[in-house]
Amino acid sequence: MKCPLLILTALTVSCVSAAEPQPRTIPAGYRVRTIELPRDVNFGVAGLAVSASGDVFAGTRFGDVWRYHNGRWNLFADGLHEIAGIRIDRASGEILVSQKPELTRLVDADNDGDADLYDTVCDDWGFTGNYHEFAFGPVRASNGDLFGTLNLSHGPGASVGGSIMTVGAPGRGTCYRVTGDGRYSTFAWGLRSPAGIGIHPETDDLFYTDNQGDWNASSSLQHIVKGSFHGHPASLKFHEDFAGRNLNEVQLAEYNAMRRPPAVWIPHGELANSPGNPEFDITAGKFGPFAGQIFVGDQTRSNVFRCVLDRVDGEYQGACVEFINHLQSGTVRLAFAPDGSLWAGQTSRGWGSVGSVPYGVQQIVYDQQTVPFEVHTMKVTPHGFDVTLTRPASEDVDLTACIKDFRYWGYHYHAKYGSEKVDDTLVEDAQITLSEDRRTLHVVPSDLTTGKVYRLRFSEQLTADNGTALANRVVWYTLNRLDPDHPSNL
Amino acid sequence: MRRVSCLGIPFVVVLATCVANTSPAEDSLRKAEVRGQILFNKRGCRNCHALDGSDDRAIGPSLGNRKEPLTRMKALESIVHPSKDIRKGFESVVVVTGEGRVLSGRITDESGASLTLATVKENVVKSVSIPTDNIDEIVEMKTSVMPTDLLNGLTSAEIRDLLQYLASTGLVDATSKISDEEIRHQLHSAHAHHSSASADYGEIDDRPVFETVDHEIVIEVVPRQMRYSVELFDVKPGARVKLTLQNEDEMQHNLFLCQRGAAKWLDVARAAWALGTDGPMKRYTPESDAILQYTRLVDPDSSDTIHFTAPDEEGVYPYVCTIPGHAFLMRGEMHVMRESRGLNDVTWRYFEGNWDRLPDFEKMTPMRSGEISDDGLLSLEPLSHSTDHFGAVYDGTLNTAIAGSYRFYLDTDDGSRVLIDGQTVVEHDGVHSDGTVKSASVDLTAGSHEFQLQFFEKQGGEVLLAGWSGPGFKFLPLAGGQRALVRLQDGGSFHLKPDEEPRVVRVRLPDSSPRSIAVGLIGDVHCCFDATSCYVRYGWTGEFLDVGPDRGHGHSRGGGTAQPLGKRFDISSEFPIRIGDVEVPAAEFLGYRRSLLGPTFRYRIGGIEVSQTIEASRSSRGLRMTYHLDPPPNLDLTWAPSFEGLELKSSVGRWSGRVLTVPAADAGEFVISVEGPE
Repeated sequence: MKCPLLILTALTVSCVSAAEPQPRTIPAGYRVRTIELPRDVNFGVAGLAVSASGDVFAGTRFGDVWRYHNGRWNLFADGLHEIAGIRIDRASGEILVSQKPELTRLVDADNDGDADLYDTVCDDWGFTGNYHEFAFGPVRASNGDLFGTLNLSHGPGASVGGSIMTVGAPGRGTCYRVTGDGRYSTFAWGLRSPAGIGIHPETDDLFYTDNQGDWNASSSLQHIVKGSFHGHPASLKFHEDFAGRNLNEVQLAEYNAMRRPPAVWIPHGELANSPGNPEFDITAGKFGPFAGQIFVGDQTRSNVFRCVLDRVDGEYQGACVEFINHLQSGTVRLAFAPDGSLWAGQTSRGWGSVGSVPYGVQQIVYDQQTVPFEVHTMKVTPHGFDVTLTRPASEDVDLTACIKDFRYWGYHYHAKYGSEKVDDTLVEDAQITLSEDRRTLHVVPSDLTTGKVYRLRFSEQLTADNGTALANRVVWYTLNRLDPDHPSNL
Repeated sequence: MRRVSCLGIPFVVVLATCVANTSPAEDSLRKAEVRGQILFNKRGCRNCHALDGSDDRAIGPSLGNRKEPLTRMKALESIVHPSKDIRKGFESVVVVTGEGRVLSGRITDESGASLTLATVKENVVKSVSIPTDNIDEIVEMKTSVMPTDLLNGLTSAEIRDLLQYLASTGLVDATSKISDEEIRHQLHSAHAHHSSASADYGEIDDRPVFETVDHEIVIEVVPRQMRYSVELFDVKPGARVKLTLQNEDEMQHNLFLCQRGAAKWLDVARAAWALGTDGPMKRYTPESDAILQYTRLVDPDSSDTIHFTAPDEEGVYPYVCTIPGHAFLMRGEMHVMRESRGLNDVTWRYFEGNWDRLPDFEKMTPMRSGEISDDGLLSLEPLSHSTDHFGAVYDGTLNTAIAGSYRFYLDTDDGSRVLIDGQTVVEHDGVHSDGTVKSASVDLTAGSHEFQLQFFEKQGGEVLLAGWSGPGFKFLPLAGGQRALVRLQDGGSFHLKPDEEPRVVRVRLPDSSPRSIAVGLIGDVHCCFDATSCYVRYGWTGEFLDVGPDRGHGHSRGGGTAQPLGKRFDISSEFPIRIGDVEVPAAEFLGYRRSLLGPTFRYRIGGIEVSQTIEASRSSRGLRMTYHLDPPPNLDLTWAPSFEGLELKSSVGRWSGRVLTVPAADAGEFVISVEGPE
């Protein structure tokens, strides 16, 4: 569409230097590359995707889409309304951008390196212009259906229980679906600040993250199914089952009974305050020993953590553990590249974040040989938990000293902003044994209580066969359900 | 129904003449004009030439309608040989004032006790008045201030585009012709010597390279603006300096650092111009005692670095680009000074208390105090402050180096105040969040001034951002570093310009739905398209859009409303098309295509897919909208704006009042032109 003179190209000047500063905590075998950005451009990234050829597309909150190709950025599209998500189809190359007012397909029809067609895929949700009305996503299921999440409004609008997050228009606080023939419908309810959506690459299971706030005790990873309700009642204003009802008069117990609990609580103030998109590790080992697990970045704490799903009685629950602490800016987006590296899109705008810069792009690269010493998984067993490690524990590990602290707590479900820990309890009687291959710790407390978050903090005494200590020593497990073989279930 | 009330209201102007559907030939002509206008913007022509016939502000003559248009040949000659035939009243002068300041430009008024000069600063033409008794010298230039190399690197086709654009403004006679041979001849006459330029003429042998330096200065050539990105920098006497000229422009440039004296650049520039046709061959490097250091002639997208030791003597050392015509816009000053410009010797005092406004800190005893080290930037960090209920006072010496008007900026959470020499300059008192910039100006003499910043925090988050601007520098942070720079500079405004391509910006706009699109067209006419109901809500002429509140410097959480900058003309407050007697159902927005002349919006009404292309009208006062309906309706169609006072034309149909009726047979494709009042 533009004549060649007009192509905006920003040169990047230097490559990675060997002495590039690294985050405070990073597992062995991984390093962080900081990508140079075009000069004088506000680059707050809230959408990030990598194409089949390895081109990185960064969508900014200022409405630009930048393409990173062979070490250079060029402006692929501009003038969009606060991008909060990008999806690139690895097979067809289709580029979908989620901006506040709509889901848009960008097409470079004249093949000159930037988009000239901005096709509306869906603009059926309500949008009042309120600053908080972000549209996140999309992800695509194997049958072609698209899913995205819509943030509640802030301030004016329908509040429930005095919540500051409100509904200004239909669709706010929901997960939507657009079918192949373009039909829009609400798929799930009760979302608050659903800043990231992800889809299981094999099962099509949908997950989203929510932020701590009113009706949200803490940040969380939640599993969405058709019609599910995730706890914040404001969106129910437009739910047909609640037509004519005053949401402020509905009993809390009714909401609670409808509510699908988070699969993984991500403890506020400990691991994350504003989690972004759940990104499944589809690299089959190219990114290290965590294939199939979920990586999530946090906008406030500028860290990256893993969620490890456990499936009990057909329902997801599971663990979370930090991966990298202290990147350069609020890490709201993660995307795996075909080469197995993990790209991070960052912004601190409006909500301050840890780090030295207001926005940025970093790439996390694995050397594809070092096996770091990390907690690999944590799963519930009939009598407790199994914590597997990425390497065998050392021969001389002192099992009585390897756990520094083991506790559990619950959260309130209420309209208030966040929740303190309820019944925070120290577990003092857990038995610890090690499997024969020295890779699995069996942790068996005398009792297990559902509806709690269990937190294991390992000590520096837990070392690997190569003498290294854990880079990340804390793991949290959300126990919604007991193992079917737990004595209470028999 | 709406239609009835419309007919009852007297309309103002509807011209009987029609606009026509675009033929392929017209379309290609229009594209040439727009490409030419983009070149006009990119080569910086509009920095100096007005387009509206008003000569009073501009450095160069207006390119608006002329009684006797130039032929294409004559116009091209004037561009490549600007000094050959200077239009009367456009001779340029250099004025040296009593304080040793040097201004260049064109005298617009010298009748009274002061002389008025049109000059260009930071890409904007400014009118400056200088009292006659404060003028030491007026140097009248025999040459035009217009650079001679504006067309360098352009192809014949691009020059044709540029001339086509000038024809559309009325400067050039549209019927005149020019051959490729004539274009080549003209360009050759201007640049005959380029090819024979001596590769090493003016090279300095063994240019020194310091391993360590005290000051590293990178000066970019700002694209399309004919100016240096840094127009003032400070060094210490005797310091080792590394200076890089990075050329981001499309033309060649250099940098000559001159001997002490604000007017010395003129000596160097004139010596370079005196090289005449030898200039290109000698790479514009004259013999002159006034030269201190210089870079090579730097090609586009290239750079050159020089290392030198700063003079021992304090003072002003100007620098300039010596290519003919460039000096009037491309120059700056190196200041050699012992004391750093800005804040020195800053101390802080820390207080605790619960206030709603700034208290009288002088009557209180600080809990702690200390000094600000390193960069002199004020910060809350060294205070080790409590989370809430505290205050701080920073005292220091502010060195201005130059007398002039200085502006101080604050954006704080909660209250703050800046005092210079004991007087409040800017105040942002009370309990409030950050995100609002307060600023005020004060005239300061050259040298040291007492500086004080007071701050308090009641509860919640705390933010301290402060900065200043003054003669020769655009903005420097005083507190908050880079964050202050992006947030406070320009007071938070951020203007988008459709200089190089039409812009299509989805953003909130006044008086339109949240799903709105600002369209900025080449040619200074723009519009607001409402993507909820799919119609042009209003247009405006002049500058495009201030997106500062939402996107510009990016400190807010978003959701702000962008401000159209020019003169608005309302068009519709509802969807303007009706088909037959049937109310048109709600339009469904389908997206848009971007192209050189303007975007094409697509939407569906009933079973009909409409595409609506929006371009600037030839007059640049309005919009030319081309509708395609597929399938065409089988009933007559009407189109009517909601507002009066518009000048309306169409390619087909019949106007009755401001209602256009298009017979079904013609309704598949038609053009409507809408212009605002003159």
